[in-house]
Amino acid sequence: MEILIALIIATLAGAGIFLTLKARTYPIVLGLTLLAYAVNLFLFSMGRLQVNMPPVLREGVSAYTDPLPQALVLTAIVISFGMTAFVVVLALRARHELGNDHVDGVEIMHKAGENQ
Amino acid sequence: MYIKREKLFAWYEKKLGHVDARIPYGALLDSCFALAHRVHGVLHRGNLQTSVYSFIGAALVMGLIGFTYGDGPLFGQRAFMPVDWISIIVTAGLMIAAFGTVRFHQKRLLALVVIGMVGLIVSLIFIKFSAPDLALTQLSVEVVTVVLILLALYYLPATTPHEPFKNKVKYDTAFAVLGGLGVFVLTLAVLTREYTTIGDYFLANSLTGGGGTNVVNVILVDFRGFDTLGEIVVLGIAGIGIFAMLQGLKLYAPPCNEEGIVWSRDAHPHIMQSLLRLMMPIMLLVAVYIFLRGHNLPGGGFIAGLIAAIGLIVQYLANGIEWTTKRLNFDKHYLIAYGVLIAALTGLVSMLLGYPFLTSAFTHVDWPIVGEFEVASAIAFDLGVFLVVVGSTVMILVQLGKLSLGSHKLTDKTLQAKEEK
Amino acid sequence: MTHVAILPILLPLFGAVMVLFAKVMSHKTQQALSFALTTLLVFLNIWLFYTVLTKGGATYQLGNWEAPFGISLVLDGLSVTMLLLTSVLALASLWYAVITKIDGANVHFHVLFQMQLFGINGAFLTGDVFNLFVFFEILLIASYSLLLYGHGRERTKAGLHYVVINLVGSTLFLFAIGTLYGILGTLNIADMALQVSKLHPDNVNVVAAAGLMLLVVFGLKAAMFPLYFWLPGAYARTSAPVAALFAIMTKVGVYSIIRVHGTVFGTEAGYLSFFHAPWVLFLGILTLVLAAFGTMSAKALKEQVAYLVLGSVATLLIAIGINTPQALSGGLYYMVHSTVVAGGFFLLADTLASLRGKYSDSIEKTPPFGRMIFSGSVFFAFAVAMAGMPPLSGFFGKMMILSGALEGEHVGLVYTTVLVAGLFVIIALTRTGSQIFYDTSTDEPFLKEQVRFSQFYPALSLLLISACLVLFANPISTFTDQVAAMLYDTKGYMDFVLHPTMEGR
Repeated sequence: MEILIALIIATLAGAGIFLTLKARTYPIVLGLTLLAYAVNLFLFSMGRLQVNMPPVLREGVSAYTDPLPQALVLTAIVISFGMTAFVVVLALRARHELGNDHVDGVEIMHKAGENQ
Repeated sequence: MYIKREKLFAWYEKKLGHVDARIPYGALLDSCFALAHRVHGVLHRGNLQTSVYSFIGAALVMGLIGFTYGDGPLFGQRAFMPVDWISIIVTAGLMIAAFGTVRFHQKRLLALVVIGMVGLIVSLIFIKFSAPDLALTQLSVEVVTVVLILLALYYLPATTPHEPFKNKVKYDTAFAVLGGLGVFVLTLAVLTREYTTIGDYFLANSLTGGGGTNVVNVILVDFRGFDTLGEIVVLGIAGIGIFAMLQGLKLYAPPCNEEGIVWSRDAHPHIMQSLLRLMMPIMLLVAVYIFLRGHNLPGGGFIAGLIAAIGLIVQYLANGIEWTTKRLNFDKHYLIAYGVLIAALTGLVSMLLGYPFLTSAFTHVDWPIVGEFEVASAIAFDLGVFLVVVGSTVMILVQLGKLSLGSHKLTDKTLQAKEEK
Repeated sequence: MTHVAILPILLPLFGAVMVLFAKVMSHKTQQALSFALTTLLVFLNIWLFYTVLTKGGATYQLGNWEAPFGISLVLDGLSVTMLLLTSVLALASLWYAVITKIDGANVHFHVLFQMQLFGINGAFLTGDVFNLFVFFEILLIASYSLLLYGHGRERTKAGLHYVVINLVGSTLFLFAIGTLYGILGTLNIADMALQVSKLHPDNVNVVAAAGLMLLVVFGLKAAMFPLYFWLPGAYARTSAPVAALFAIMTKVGVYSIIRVHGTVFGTEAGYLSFFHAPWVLFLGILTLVLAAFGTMSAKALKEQVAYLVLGSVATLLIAIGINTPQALSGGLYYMVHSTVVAGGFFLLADTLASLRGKYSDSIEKTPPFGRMIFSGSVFFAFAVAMAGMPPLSGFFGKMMILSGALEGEHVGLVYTTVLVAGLFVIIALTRTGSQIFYDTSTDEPFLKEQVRFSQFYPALSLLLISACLVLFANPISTFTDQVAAMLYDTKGYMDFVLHPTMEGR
């Protein structure tokens, strides 16, 4: 099971890295989102994976999973939401200021109609 | 030497008189500058890619080097959990979705839909591995993020053009594969090792010290409430920063999508309008319910805030910006300000009583029908969290939505100009 | 229960909320409020500094949960120095922003400014590594907004680069924290040091990998090679008060290396004790060389000052990498000096740019401009300070670092790099000075731009502080020696945080 999780995290990280290396703002946003998923799963899995042991105290149950990584991931999810929103709006601002959605504002000649 | 000085002077005049020390000095100086320019020009192209490549490269190299310290084995001895078929299918599904996002990233709307799928599967993973709070949060953040990116996509080109450099795709793939491999090794390296954690303290003291049974929520608003305070400040700053960035922004929105089908500019669909207007009080009620139960069952300020925010945002979506703005007329800056203030004041109160900032207290309350339950002061903190989440999320999305008011006028003008040509 | 440790964090937090509520009031009121808050912060930090000097430091357990379970704040010699430095620099930049009306007609600048201070102060005080992450995010997002304030094509482009690279950096930060938690099981820095001291030999490699990844993250903030490419663009293209404030932001990265790596991988870490130091040294040397080249290639003054900041941070990294208390003490002195001077230099560059009208701050011959002699002399003073020449504080700082290097390894390499880089910086600054002030062309008429003389005041006051650093060099260096000795006493730090008693630090 741990191998599956590691595979998932690795795939998300790899896909995220690939997209973040693109030269347009939109793929970068998607890439950063995938990287955020990867790191949230990673941080979560640091509590070691347990099934059916949610950290909600109940009568008669004594085994719970580690609650701390979950709290950390919750914080991380919300913070990266704020950051995602910021970078999306920045991408729009850059579109306005630079005239296109290339990260360096470079105008590359393409077939007409593809660039706006 | 003094006796011979006449001869020395003459020799100097003949051989070295024409040598002006300033010339080699100047040449040396210029060559220094030239060297500096050349080295500098190679490294600094002023583009983002150099930074990202070097960062990821540095991270990979440093991680690799780190593993060479000590003589321990790469992986530990901890036993793995058994695998079941559903997990394999889900893993395969997620990997396909991730690859799909990459493969189809040039069709932007499609990529967004696929990423939504990835997010849903991540929520499922959280549920499977005993994290109900996380699954709820991931789900609600996912909804808001997709709405956000959709709003932005309206103004961005609908497709990503191909890279002009063929080799770039190869480099990028190489980096991605190496990065993924590194993360794979790192994850397994940790998961195969045992550890002792301070988490047990939180499990032991959540009820007795914090007054709640949802340990994750108690950590968030009590044990590590300071982190949460920082987190809502981040949200607040994001909202304010976005507001500042959108000042004076006018963007051209294409009148048709990539296949030439004109976007509908008609009024919003009636079914959506009436249904969503009816649902708003229900959504807000759900939000309040989740908020109140957060200390003892999965829920809490964040999730409640996001649900309430979604409830408000769909009103904008269903009824249009102008209609909803007339009715939801409060300045969201103040929601954020009040939220942070309430959260910070909760912490301050304990200071006035002689305890450190953010010390919480709880009592037992006995109500006739409901029975006995615990009320913690952390709920006031959670209220602050709730307000900030609602304020900043609604502010961000409404500001983005308001862009469309300006852009429609811009689009009309551009269309008119084209027609006149 | 003394609440002193949390005050530098609470003041800007409540201040930001107050300024946000002041949205309805006049702009002058908002400015006055923001100014008053920052001045109050300076006085608070002076008082805290005095308290730490006389009574020793303090820890603070948030939520009244004992360490390592709750979040700890640690107020000691190092954190209080950084706090005081930040607030002084912030006051000068705010002063300049208000004088030049860069803060615009709305309240956002001041709210963001106070939030930025909240983030920076929190980062300097926290004793918990995830809390450090949260404060990093706060100071980063505030800096994104401040950097982009005022819009503009080049600014937005530089801002986009800065934001994206830092988002990638934050992701790596979480990977590193996660790995460390996964093995050590704790987030409190002192407790992490304790766990590392008890680390099973089989786990050394994972912890080392996490430690080096964390170094990459802090190195991104501290603009260490190869992670510094964002710095020149970001610093040169934003508004001057923001650039001046950013002089402290790179120091947050340096501080984190000293605090986190210096404790977790400190004297108690066994095999991993200070294993990061050689890396910091070599990368710092490389950064210094490249910074010198950058200083020489710069075409505009603000860009040049950005490379000077890079060079000063590189010198600090070298001081840490040398790994002796004497070098660290010199590094602390130099940190104070370089932050103050760099901030002032940015403000001066902006004033010069306004004086030269359409030529702005480019390094080329221009006709004579107003207040040339005065600004030229101020420039000269700053150049001397920045280049590390006597009689200003840079010289003493470098001297202390170099004499500390004698006890360490790689003496020859360090001396050569620092001295040659210093020479190149002097050459570059001389050329700039002569191009801007000396070599004026007479074909075009006198540039008649006017600036109010008060625009010079913030820069001059920072220069004054540099002069004070020299006048009081002896007591200050005694203080930095004490702080450095304390920083090499990891066991002491661990006891201080995990088993607090009545004794201070």
